[in-house]
Amino acid sequence: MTAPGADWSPYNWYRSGARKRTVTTDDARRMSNSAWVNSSRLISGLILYTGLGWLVSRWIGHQALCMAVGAIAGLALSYYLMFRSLEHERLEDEERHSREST
Amino acid sequence: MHVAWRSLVSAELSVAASGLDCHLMADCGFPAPGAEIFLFDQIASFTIGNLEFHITKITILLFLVVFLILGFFIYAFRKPKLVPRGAQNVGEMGYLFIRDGISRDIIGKDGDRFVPFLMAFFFLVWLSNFMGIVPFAQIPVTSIFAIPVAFAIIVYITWVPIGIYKQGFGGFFKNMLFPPGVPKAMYILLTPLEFLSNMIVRPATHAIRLFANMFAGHLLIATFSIAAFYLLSASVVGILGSVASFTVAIALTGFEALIQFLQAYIFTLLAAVYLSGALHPEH
Repeated sequence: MTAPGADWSPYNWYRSGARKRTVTTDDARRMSNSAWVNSSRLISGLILYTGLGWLVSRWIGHQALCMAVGAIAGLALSYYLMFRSLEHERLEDEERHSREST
Repeated sequence: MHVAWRSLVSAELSVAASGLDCHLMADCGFPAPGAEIFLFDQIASFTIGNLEFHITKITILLFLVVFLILGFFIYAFRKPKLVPRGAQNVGEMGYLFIRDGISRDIIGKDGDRFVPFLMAFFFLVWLSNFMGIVPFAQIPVTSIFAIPVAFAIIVYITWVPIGIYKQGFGGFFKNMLFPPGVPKAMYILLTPLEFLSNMIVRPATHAIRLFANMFAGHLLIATFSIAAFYLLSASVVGILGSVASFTVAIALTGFEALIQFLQAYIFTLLAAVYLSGALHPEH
């Protein structure tokens, strides 16, 4: 058994078994941030476009139709935004890692 | 000063006591607890100018929580030693847990300035939640919606100005409203979505997540406690049901202790995520 290193802290004991860090702290931070951001995007896309659909249907009279279309469109838009921003993050990560390795 | 007894006793007792003869065979129906168990009569009230202030059990518990936290940390760090002992050790553990477990992981090295903010929130929320399983207190302070809303607003009016200060007014809103990696034409549809997501859904879910967990947990414990009382009668179903309900109430109390910690952790974690987003924008 070896003595803990200089950066040893009882609060990262769950990492002490790892021989090599596969995910850097910066990457982990970005990942956890985008997880929270995307869950909030999903909710707000649904709320916003369902609400807009409801307003439109109040205006033109097709009660259920526009609201349903709005809900589906809103969810589709949130998914689109989520995939796009995750793709952007992946490309950025790849670029950074290739820069760091060379 | 008139002190109404309903303002002091725990909700479970007050509901159960509204019908002491109300048991399984008494034909009175199960007195299921509702939102009324979160309402307490005022203990005192006073007015300053046009504002009316009502002191309830919740107010007292919230002040108690604040004084306990202040008292403990002032006591723990009154004479800090290089080699910590006793209370200072516990205080440092709490500090390091927030610094290494939340701040450094989520915000990074420059988050060290926000550790006192996050730590204050963590202990405030945790102890407020913990009041739900303290005998005689028995109501999580955060299960009253106004309190998590106030907490979430404090976090909100912290990270928004920090973001504006760090990135500039235009830069902050540009980074927030125009996510990268999307064709320009789509911004017409996506910018309102991002605005709603960041400015409204974020603080709303921040408050609702904490409130709903504490509200539901307290309601569950209350339901099973009342069921244990209600089922208590001279019949097989009554005795078995009562014992089972009591056991479940005890188990749920233990489970709540876990949820209370977890929700305080998540609340602090989210505050750190929002601060991190304000400090380092995505490009």
